[in-house]
Amino acid sequence: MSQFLGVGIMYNPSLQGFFDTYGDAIDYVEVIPDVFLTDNGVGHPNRFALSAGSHEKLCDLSARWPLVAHYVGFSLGTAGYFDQEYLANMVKFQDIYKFKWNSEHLSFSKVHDEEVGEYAVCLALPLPFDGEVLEMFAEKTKKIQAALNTDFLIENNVYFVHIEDEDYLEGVFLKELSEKGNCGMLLDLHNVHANATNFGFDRKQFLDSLDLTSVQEIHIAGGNVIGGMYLDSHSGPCNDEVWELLDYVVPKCPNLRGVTYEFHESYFDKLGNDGILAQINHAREICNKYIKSEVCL
Amino acid sequence: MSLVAFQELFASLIADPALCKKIIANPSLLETDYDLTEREIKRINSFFKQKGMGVNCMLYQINRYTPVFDLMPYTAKVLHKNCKVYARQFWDGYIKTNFQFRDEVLLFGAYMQNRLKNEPETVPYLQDIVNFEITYNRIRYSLYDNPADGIPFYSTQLNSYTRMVFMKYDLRYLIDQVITNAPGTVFDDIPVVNSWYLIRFNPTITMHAVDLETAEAILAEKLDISTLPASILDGGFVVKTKVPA
Repeated sequence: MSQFLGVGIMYNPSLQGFFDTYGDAIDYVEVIPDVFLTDNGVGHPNRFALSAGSHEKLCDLSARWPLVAHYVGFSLGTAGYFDQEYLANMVKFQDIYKFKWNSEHLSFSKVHDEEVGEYAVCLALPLPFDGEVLEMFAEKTKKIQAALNTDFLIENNVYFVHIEDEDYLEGVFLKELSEKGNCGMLLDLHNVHANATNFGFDRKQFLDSLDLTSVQEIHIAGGNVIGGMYLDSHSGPCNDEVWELLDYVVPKCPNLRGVTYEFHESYFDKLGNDGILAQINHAREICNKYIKSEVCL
Repeated sequence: MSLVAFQELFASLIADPALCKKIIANPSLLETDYDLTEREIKRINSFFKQKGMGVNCMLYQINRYTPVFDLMPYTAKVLHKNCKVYARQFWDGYIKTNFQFRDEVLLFGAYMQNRLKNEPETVPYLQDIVNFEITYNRIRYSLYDNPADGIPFYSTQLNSYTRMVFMKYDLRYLIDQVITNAPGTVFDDIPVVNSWYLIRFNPTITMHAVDLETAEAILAEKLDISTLPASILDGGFVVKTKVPA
């Protein structure tokens, strides 16, 4: 079993002041490597180009905290295609920045066609919880896990449309994926809350349907209602339901390594440095109730 | 592969509300125009009955506006309500985007430049605003080639964070007005200067109007560094030491 790293935060540029003031309050920083890169396109000889200053920023962060990588651009759900170049870049980044673990999403954000090759969907769209998708996805996560020397986790997705007539319930699908795909789970409690709010299922019952021994990381965040639906907008503090779910699930996740707070930088003014600290501290209080020793690696 | 067709259609629908309307009006298109299974056809039809489909379309639009609003904020502020109209027209010609912020913003900038050539705007200084934002975004993304229209211009005598661009209006005054006034405000008192400017971006933007002689020397890559005023030299706009041939 891996050791519990503690409570971390998802990096965004608005955090510099928080890092300067309250940097000791966090145990690790999670980064989205894709935001530091420009993707010059499939087949380009210098496909993934680090933006100016990005390497220095990542080095600065890694000098102070352990780093965790949360990818958003692999689009593992894309049918009929596996992006070998993306994986190669992931491996390269792992060698350079020594992430404690890596993760991606259970969704697709790109498609491929004969006209332009690859193009973006511009958001993470859900996959049907079908056997065909399970096989396809598990093959990909196995390849990634074999290439990385750290654990690879898959995050449960948020969705705004229900896909009819699926082979599996979501919880069962995720459980099967962990087994067949040799991957851990990044349990996003805010996504669970958003889906449960929009589609009316019981949050705790859903959590109980998962294999919680596969959960290595938990995401917590806040959201808001737009267009008549609850969105995972990361729009400030976590709401009460998310805190309740965190308190419910932490003691059931024996292999938990970290709890990560996420907010979108455009909501920094709403939170302020003290508000961010309050979120971190609240998460830590809950973790400390159930996890006795935090070990910073 | 059917799942491939399902994902392509799902992506197309959220990017293109007109396609949603077309299929809602004629559901048999799902059978005739797409390689879908019966179950996938039922799934797509059920999407149209869910409010979440509207949310997906909205999120697509918010996400695609983001590069323009974040990286061309002055253009967006000057265009105001028209920004969404023009962005939508730009997307219609580039629906299969790679969604790299660099490409989104530079292609939208090129779309605006082309539009302004063919249909002059009622806001006369919009072209300068667009060119200014293209300029600092090309610096942001370390692009050193010179576009065919010469906007902006780079030579090895310039600092890698500097480009030169021609402006009809007083750029500093213009940007100050855009920053301090409400979106969509039209100004009729921007001085016309017809001047070249050096624009530097690292990490803040600085600008310096240059006389015609200096600009011509930069364009010809024959700039005599020793004759430049301190405001250009100390401002970090040019390479101070001689660049090897």
